[in-house]
Amino acid sequence: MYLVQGTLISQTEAGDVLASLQTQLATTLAQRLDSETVLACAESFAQWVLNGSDALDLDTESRTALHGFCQRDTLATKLARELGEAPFSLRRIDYRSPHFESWRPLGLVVHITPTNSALLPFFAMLESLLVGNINWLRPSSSDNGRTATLLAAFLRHDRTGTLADYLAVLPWPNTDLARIFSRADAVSAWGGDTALTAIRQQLPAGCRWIDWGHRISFAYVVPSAASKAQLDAVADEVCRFDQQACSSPQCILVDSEDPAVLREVGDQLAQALARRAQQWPGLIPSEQESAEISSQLAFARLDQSFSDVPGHVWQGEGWRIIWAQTAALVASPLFRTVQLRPVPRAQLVETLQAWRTRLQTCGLVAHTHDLALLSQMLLAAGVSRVTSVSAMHDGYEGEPHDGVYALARLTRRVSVSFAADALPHHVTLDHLPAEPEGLITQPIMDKIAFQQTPMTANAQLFFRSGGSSGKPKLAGFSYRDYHRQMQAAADGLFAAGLDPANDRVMNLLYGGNLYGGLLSFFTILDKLSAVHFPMGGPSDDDYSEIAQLIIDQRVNTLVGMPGTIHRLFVREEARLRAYGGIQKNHAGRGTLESATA
Amino acid sequence: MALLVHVDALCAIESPYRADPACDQLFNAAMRELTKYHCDESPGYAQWLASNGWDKAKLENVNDWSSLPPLFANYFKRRLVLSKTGEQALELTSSGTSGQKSRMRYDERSLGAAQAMVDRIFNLYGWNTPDTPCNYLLLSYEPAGAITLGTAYTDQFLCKYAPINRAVYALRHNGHGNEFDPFGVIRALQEFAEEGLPVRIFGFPAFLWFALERMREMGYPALKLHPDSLVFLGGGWKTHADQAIPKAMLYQRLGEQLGIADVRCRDGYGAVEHPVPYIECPNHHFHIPSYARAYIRHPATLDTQPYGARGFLHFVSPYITSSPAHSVVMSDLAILHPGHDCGCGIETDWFELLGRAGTSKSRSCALAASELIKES
Repeated sequence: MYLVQGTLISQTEAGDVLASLQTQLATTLAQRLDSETVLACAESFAQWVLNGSDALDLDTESRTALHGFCQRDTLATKLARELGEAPFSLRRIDYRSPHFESWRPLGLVVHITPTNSALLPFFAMLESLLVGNINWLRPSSSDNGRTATLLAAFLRHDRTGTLADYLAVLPWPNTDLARIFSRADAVSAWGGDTALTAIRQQLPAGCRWIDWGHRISFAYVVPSAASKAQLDAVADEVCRFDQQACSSPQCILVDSEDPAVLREVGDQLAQALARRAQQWPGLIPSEQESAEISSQLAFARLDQSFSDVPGHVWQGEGWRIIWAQTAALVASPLFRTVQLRPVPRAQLVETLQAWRTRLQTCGLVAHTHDLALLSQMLLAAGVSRVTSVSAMHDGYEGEPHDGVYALARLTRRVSVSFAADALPHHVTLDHLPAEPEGLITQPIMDKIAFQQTPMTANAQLFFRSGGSSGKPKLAGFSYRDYHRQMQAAADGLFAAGLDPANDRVMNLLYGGNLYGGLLSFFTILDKLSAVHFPMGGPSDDDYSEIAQLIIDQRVNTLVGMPGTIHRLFVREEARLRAYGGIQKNHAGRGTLESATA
Repeated sequence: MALLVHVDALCAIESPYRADPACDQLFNAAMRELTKYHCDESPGYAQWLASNGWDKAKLENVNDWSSLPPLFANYFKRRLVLSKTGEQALELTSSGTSGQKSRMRYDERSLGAAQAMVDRIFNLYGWNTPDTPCNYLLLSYEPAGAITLGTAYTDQFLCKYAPINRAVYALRHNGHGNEFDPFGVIRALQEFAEEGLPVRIFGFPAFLWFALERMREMGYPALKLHPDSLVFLGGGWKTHADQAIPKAMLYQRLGEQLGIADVRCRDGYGAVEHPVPYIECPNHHFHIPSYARAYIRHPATLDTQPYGARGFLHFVSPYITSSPAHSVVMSDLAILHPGHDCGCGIETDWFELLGRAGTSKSRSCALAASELIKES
């Protein structure tokens, strides 16, 4: 099943789909996809998939997963965590230099997804769409049109109609990938070594290679910390997914060289597996997989007769532990087969070296005082994720995957630089944002309506109004909103002429109480990285200390209420005239004005 | 050299597919004798038996050798396992890549025993023709220096049954490694057809397949090789794309493109870890020669399986003194059939191969060899 321009097309009707998609590319690349369009579409789809998606024949688990992934907040948080706030704004890297940077989509990304995860292709496409890429999916043979159908349903929630240009599904033959790769800016592929190598060979030169290979995970056990509960947790993680997940422990490495200690850990782990294995429904290995397990067990047993290396095999109902007293990480034939090996901490880096590019999670069993040190050692050895042993399979929102943020691999970091005097007051080179949809139909909110609107649970920072027009009121902000506003105000000050490279700013705004809100100038000047002397207004009519500091510290810019600044110049006129160094005043009280003295 | 009268007697049996009680009796006696020998002469072997609940005393009454604790063929990739006579013996390896090669040692007695089995099977089928010179196409590695690779050793050995007029290698040595030379192969076949002598083609089937494919793609006319020509293959049936070559189709194409009759196209199964020859009968079935017995072991439990069931292929043969490899589980899956199900007249059991066992990166001869095929 093909998906082209939001329409599902059968194999036979597809014709020269590729040529028409390729023709369309330049037009789509010239457009800019606003992530808001994707967020809005995903939000609507997330609601629909939970409630009304009978036609798609999805089980409850899939619906929940889709709903969770497509939440506006989830996607927005992902974007902000991985690429920063306003990632696509072409913005100065700091206010002092004329260099502008931004994230941009790569362009056309072709995704090659594996057979073993039903929803992964959809998630991969959405993630890449979120950063504005055009995405073509070559699904696995077992996909059977599932992802095309799902994406078509997703596109029905796009009110702008633009996203259809960005998503296509092309069930293309394996041997002819070079044709769909010919215009690709990147290929994102999932699979084992053999599959990835075969795909990579077909990449055009210069095309970015985004590989998601197989990974190996293990548990690291400090024997004196291995309580019954901890080993039960190891057993649970071994059984939970029958070691099929990349974060499942295949190997238990023990922080000891003593064979007696290894045997003891093996005995205890065997007891834990005997206790816990029945709690988890088991996966039946295929003939090939059984044969691999039998062979590995036979090798271990043969070693015990034909080599001098101490070892033992523990075996129970559907599980087995293979101990060999050689410092090494070894892959397991899976299906609850645990490889037990000694690796004293001093040998971790050396022992894991051969596996560095494939290491993923280490579940750590250690004393509290060891946790930080061992985490550092494991990270140095190439592990990309350290967890408590009971949480190897868990994750958290925005967690890096296999040592990277996915979105950074799906984007390019771009820069624009001009002479310092070319655009001296521009903080960004962004297009003006389009008017929000439906703005004209929204009634204007007046002050009373605002005050009557209850604050949400997101409010974290509360400013008290001056109360000049009645009883003081509180205005609540989330820190995210607060920082956006302060950034905008900093941009505004910069545009108005504040020069963080040269200006020395004295802040005369009163803090707290009635004028609590004006404390925020502290944040604005902080964002500007301006030289800043927080002074506060005087509590009486004595401005002499202020004037002295201005002169001593060569302050050239004042920030304060008009009244304060006026009194300062009246009271200290003689000294300040003699100084003659004040060049800029930024006066603010509810409104912001700028003047030059 | 130890005196092993029963072993010598078994290995001296002239008729390679005898199936009768006397032969069974001799086989049992030879197995007992050789197993005891390894208990004394092979470090670790007695312990291996003991850890599986076996000892010398238990051997006395055994007539079914399926449960004799086996070694695994792939275990020889991890460790060289020897008896005392193996210490100074000839070493042969499988053709795996980087650290994945099996290493085996063959003393003269063991190698001689295995080679004598081949002699008798070649005699049986009338392929031993010392008075008829042949042209040889060897679909294997052209040697550069001493041969230690099992397959190359075998292919050279097989040339002794007919005088060599000329021999051409398909995997030419290029100074640093071996490279498949399809044009050389095709040119050799064309010249052999003109010269008119019987041709013997030995080695990896994949390369023969590629040569036939190339001939067809290039529009070469069919050749007519001498009717007494012989194709005797061994090794992998996989192409570089990991696709199995259909054996029946290869034989048919050999008829169409080279004029070789189906009955003169045979496949052989053997390995450096177990070189007893299993050679296709005229019906293309691998019968077990009288010097060995085969069993099928369940992939998960290793229990012995009945005829018709799938599992590991397990061979027992008392031919070898240099290593306790007289009971070996191969890395292939197979089904065992009773002899009379074949119809060729041989009464010993035969097996049907089902492919490699295990999903790990076990590299067979064929996989490594197939890496040498260049995409055109």
